[in-house]
Amino acid sequence: MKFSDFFRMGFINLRRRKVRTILTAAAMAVGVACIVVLISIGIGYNQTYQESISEMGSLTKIDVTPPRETKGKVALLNDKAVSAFKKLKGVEAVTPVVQVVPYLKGGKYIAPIRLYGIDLDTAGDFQITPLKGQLPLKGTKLVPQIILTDDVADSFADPQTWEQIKDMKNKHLIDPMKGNIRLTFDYNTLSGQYVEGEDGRAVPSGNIYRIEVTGITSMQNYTYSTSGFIQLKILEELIEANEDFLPPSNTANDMKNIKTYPLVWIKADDIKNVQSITDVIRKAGFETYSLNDMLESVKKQSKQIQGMLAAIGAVALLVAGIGTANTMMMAINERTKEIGILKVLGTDLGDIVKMFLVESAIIGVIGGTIGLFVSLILQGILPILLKEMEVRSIIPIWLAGGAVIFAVFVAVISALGPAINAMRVSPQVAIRAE
Amino acid sequence: MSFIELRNIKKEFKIGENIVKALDGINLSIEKKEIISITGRSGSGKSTLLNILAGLEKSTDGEIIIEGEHIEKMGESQRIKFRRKNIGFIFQSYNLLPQYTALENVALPLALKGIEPKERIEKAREIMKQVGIETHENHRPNEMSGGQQQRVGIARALITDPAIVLADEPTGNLDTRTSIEVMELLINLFKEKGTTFLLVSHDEVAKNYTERTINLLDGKIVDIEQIFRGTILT
Repeated sequence: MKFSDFFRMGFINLRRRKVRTILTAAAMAVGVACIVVLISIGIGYNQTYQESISEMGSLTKIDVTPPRETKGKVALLNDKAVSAFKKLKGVEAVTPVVQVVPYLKGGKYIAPIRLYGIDLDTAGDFQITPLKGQLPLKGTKLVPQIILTDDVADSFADPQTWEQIKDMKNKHLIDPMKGNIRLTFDYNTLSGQYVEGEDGRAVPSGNIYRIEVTGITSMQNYTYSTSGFIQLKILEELIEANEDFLPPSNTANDMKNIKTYPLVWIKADDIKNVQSITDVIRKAGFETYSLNDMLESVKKQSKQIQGMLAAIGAVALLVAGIGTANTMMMAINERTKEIGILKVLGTDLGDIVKMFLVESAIIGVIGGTIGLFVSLILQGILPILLKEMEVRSIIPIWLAGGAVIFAVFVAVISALGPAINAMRVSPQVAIRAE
Repeated sequence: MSFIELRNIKKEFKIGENIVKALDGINLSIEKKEIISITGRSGSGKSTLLNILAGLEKSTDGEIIIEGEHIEKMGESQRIKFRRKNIGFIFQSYNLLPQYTALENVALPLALKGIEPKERIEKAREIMKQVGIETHENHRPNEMSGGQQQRVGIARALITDPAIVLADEPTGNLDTRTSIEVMELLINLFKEKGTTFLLVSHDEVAKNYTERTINLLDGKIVDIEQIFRGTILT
């Protein structure tokens, strides 16, 4: 038999029992709508998580720190490691990072900042782009050039009261780009306090540097709050000159005379590569941290939620499948005579099976499509109905297509048993039945 | 060897503890283009014989050879294929499919063979004309009289040009006048086409049209009447 004839016959037979066809398709539609809506809500949750995490910073940035284990042979986070990271597949930029906390002074006001020494050529990759001004040029140790985040200006405070000028309604009292900003690593120098050493003599106070603020960058939603960025080389020179005023952990380690870094930033070219890059680096013995780690665990969690929701939907579809099986079984019982006639006329056994499977598949297509439309309508209504739960339903193409295909699959599987029964109908018994 | 050869056909049914012999050693040779009626009382086994010939039922024992092929050795799929190719079937209660029009019913065997709609509709129209039912193309079975339905049934049996046509009481549900019309139509068509025709009937009308009448009683052939009719139905 021709494929088109199966469809023609299927439609004619289904039209003959309109009400039953509609009811069976409706059951299928409910099942499909259930499964689609529940999965789409799972996807919605996933999307919401992802968005809220990416608000916290770049999902493609990886922080690499030295191994926690310090005994035995440990991997060194040195220039060699940095250049190795650069060669990894999917890595766009790498920079070693050294952090210190010096003080800025503008007029009588003081602001502690987090100063990052990085390779400024990669600044753009880590979203350090000037909103005003420009990135620091090479600069010198004596007049270092720094780019500050946009929240530094408001963080200056009076050292007597530690009341921030922001709270004193004197906003923008200090414009770092215009102001005469100084920097020191020695707090005592700023307060002018005299410090007595163990031998009773005055301890020499730290240098105060005049700095040049070349630009202002965004703090990236608190990723870099009250921070400054400076060329790594210059920061290293500054640290060397001010070692006495810094806690030992802040200085670049000179382990076994090899210079190592406390932190390295890596920027992946695509979120998809983050996992593979961190896997390689972890295997090499380093510690890594990225927002993607968080995303992965959230993803895992939301996958479990999705799976649970899908399972509930699957039960609905299973019920629909049983309904379809019942419909086909009844249709076949009613049509034993017709099947007998078809057999006498010489219908191939396989064709009889196909006839019923196609009929059921048509129910699947109708039910699946109606179910999909219902889900699309619910997609619009649900967020309004369940406003407080912040439900969001996302139906991607694969879900829409997959739902209809799955409905057809369930319908065909349900009809398989009855269709094989139909094939076994004895022609001579069937035609005798009046 | 004859066109159709039945050798020692036996068919037994088990009803509870008892074994009922529906056919008890039938031997029969049928030549090509022969027109034969099988008569007998109800329960004599005539329908069973026809069903076995059509491959709808399996015999318990014996050989059925049609054109050199052993039907009894075939599996169900093979029998279906054989039937589709060689045998047309006409029923007492017409057995048209109610959801299809007369034309679709007639064309159905060709659809089962996988023939294109255009070709099979053309052929169906032609054969409907031959049986005189071309005016009822778009009628469904429940919109036609018994005689009209049987004509559709005949057209359906003939559309594949089968070598053999089997009919089980084709006039059983018809009044006498219509029975005569239908029988005359059948005999004329088969004579013209050279079809081998086996007719089961307990109707005296039918007997008058055939060349040989086989009488069955309790599953055995009791009598074969050979009638030489020179010029009936010219």
